[in-house]
Amino acid sequence: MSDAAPAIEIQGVTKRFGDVTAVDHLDLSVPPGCLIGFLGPNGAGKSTTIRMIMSIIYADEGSVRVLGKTALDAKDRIGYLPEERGLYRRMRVRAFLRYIGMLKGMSSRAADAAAAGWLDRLELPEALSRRCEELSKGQQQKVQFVAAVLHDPNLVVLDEPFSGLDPVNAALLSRVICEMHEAGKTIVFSTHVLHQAELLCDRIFLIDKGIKLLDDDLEIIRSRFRERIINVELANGTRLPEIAGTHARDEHKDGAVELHVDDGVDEQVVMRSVLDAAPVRSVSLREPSLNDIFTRLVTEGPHT
Amino acid sequence: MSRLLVVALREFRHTVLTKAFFIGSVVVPVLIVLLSIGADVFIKPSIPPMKGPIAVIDGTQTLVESISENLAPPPRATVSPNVSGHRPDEVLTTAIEEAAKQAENETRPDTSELTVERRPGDELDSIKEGIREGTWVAAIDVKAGSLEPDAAKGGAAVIWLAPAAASSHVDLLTQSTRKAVVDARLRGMDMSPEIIRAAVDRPSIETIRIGSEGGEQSESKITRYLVPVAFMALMWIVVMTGGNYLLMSTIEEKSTRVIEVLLSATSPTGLLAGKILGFACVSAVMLAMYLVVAVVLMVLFAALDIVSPGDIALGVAFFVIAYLMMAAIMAGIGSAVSDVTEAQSLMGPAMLILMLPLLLLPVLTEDPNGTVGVIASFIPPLSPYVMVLRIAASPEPLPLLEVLAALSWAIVCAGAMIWAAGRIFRVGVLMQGKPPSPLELLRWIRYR
Repeated sequence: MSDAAPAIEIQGVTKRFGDVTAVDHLDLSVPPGCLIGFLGPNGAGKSTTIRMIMSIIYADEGSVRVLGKTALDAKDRIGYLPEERGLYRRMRVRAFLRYIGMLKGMSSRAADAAAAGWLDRLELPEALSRRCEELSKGQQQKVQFVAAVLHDPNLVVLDEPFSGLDPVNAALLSRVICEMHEAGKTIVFSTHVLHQAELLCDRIFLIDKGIKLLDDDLEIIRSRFRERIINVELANGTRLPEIAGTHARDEHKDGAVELHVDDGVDEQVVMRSVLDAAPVRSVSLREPSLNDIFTRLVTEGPHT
Repeated sequence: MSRLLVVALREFRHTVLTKAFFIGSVVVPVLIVLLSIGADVFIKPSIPPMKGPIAVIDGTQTLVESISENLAPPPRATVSPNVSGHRPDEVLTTAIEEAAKQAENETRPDTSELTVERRPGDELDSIKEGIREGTWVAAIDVKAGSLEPDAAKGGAAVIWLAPAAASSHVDLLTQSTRKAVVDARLRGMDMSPEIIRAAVDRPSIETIRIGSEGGEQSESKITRYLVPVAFMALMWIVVMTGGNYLLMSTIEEKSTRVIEVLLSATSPTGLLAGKILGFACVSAVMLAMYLVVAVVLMVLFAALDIVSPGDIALGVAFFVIAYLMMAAIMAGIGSAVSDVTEAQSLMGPAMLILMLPLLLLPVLTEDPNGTVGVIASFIPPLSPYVMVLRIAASPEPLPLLEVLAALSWAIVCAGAMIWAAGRIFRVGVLMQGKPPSPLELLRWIRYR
C-alpha cells in the first residue's frame, strides 16, 4: 500500500436487513495514520459500517477496501474491539490471548510475548495466569483491548472502547490510544461520549439513519460550524429580556442562558447589552462544541 | 498454521484435556469394562457353608445314599477354552456356557463338612428340636410311595430347616432330594438316569445360510443381532456426543459475545469448519477408545473375523458422514439460539429424527434388506446408521451398487447440510433475541 492510499475506502455501500436499510449509499475515505471518530445516535449504522470494514458482514451494494485490499484479505492487519465484547469464561487469559494471536497469524511464542508486554503496559500483568471469569469487568475490558492490538495491526477499530472503565483506566486507555496514533497507526474509534472524541480525534465521521451527515477534519468542521455563543449566568431570580443581535437562545434549568450571535454583529456589543439588561454572575463567549454540532446535525438534518 | 487448524486445535484441546471429558469418555468406558469383568470378584454373594448332620427319614428306604451323593461337593473342573480350529461363534458360545456352569457352582454352598444320617420316623420331633438348637442342620422326610411314577402330586417330601437357613441351602436340599427321587423312579423302570438326561439335553444347532450365488455362511445370534446393534449404537453415541460438544461450544461463543472477536480474525465458514474438524477429532478419540476395547474383547474370544476389513472401511466412511450431518444440525441450532434453554426447544424435533435409527432397530435387524431398510438407507440423517446396521446384520454382502449409491447420496446430503448450516451459522451467530422460526432459517440460508 502506498502512503497516500486510504486506510479505509468505502464506495457506495448499502446494507439492508430485511426491510431496514442500515447503511445507505455510504462513501467514506479514511487517510492512513488518522484517528477518526465514528459518531452517531443509537441505531445510526456505526456498528454495521464497522462490521463491514471487518468483513464480518458484507455489503449488499458498493465496495469496501481496507489497507489497499479487500476487507477479508486485510484481516491480519486489523485490530478490532467490538461493542459486544466477551471472553471464554473458563479459559485462562494467556491461552485466550495466544489463541487470538494465532488466529491473527502470530506464532504462539510471539503471541505470549506480546500479551505479556501489553498487559504490563496496561498495568495488569497479574491477569496472565488467571481465568477470564476471575477478572473484574474493567480488567476484562483491558484484556479485550489487548486481544485487539496484540498482533501490532496497521488499522485499529475500537467500538466504544471506554464503556465500563473507571476514569483512571479510561485515561490510561486514552493515553495508549494516543501513543498508537503517534506511532502512525490508523485508528477508528466509535463512541457516544463526544467529549472523548473531541479530545482524541483529528477527524469525525457522523452518521444517522444510515446516511452520512459529516466526514471531515475536526478543525474544518469547527470552522464550518463556527458560531459565537454567549453564555450568561444570571443572578438569582432574574430573567434576561430579548437581546438585539442574537437569533436564538437556549435556556437551561439552572438559570443559564445561551445566546447565538447574529452574523455581522459585534459580540462585544451584545455582551455589553446583556450586562445592561439584567444582573448577571458571569458572561462568556465560546465556540460550538462537538456536542452542539452533533445535536444540531442530528435534530436539524445535514443541510443546516 | 492456518486459521482453520488453530480453531480445530483449540476446540480439541479444550474438550479433550478437561476433567469432564476424561471422566465421561475415558473413566466411564474403562469402569464399565472393569466392572463387567470384575463383577464376579467384587459383588460375589457370600454363601454360608453347610456344616453338621442332616437327618433323612426315608419312607422309601432307598434314597439316603443318592441324596448323600447329590449333596456332596462337585468335583472341581478347570476350564481352558481351546480356541484353535473353532469358529469364533463356537468359542464364544462355549465360553458363555462354561461361565454359566462356573457361576452355578459358585452359588452352591460348601458341603464338605456335611454328613447325611438315616433316622427313623419316630425321631422326627426330637430332630426338629435339634434343628432349633443347632445340633442338626436340616431334616428331609421322604414319604413312602414317592417313588411310584403315578404318586399323588408327584410324590411328597418335607424338608425342615433352621429359621435362619440361607436360601441357597433350601435350593440345594430341594434339588438334591428331587433328583434322588426322579433317578430312583427311572432306575425302577430299568432306565439309566444319565442316559435319559443326556437324551433330553438341548442339542447344539448350527444355522447355516446358503448364499444366493453359492457358498455357505454360518451365523449365530451374536453375529446376527449383537454385533450390528453394538456397532450402530456405538456410532450413534459417539456422533451424538461430538455433535453436542459442537452445540455447546457454539452457544458459549455466542452467549459470551466472543464470537465477534473470532469473526474479526476468521470468516464464519472458516470458524465453522475449524469447529467441525476439532470436534471430529474429539469424536474420533472417543470412537478409538471404544474400538480398542472391542478389539481386545475380539482378540480374547478369537473373534476378529466377525467383521471384515471392507466392512470396517465402510463403517468409518459412514461414521464420518454421520458426524458431518450431526455437526450441521448442531451448528445450525447452536448459531440460531442464544442460550441452552432455547437450544433445548429446537433440539426436541431434531432428537425425534435422530432417535429414529434406534426405534427402527427391531425392524432392521429382523429384515436388514427389507423395504424399510432400503428406503431408510437413503433418508438423511438416518442413512449412515441404517447402512452400518444393514452391512453388519445382512446375511449376505449388500449389493455393491446399492452400497455405492447410498454412500454417494449420503455424501451429497452431508455436503448440502453442511452448506446450509454454514449459511445459517454466518447469519445466526451475530443475531440476538428470540430464536428464528423455520421460515426465517430458510431466509437466512438465502441471504447474500
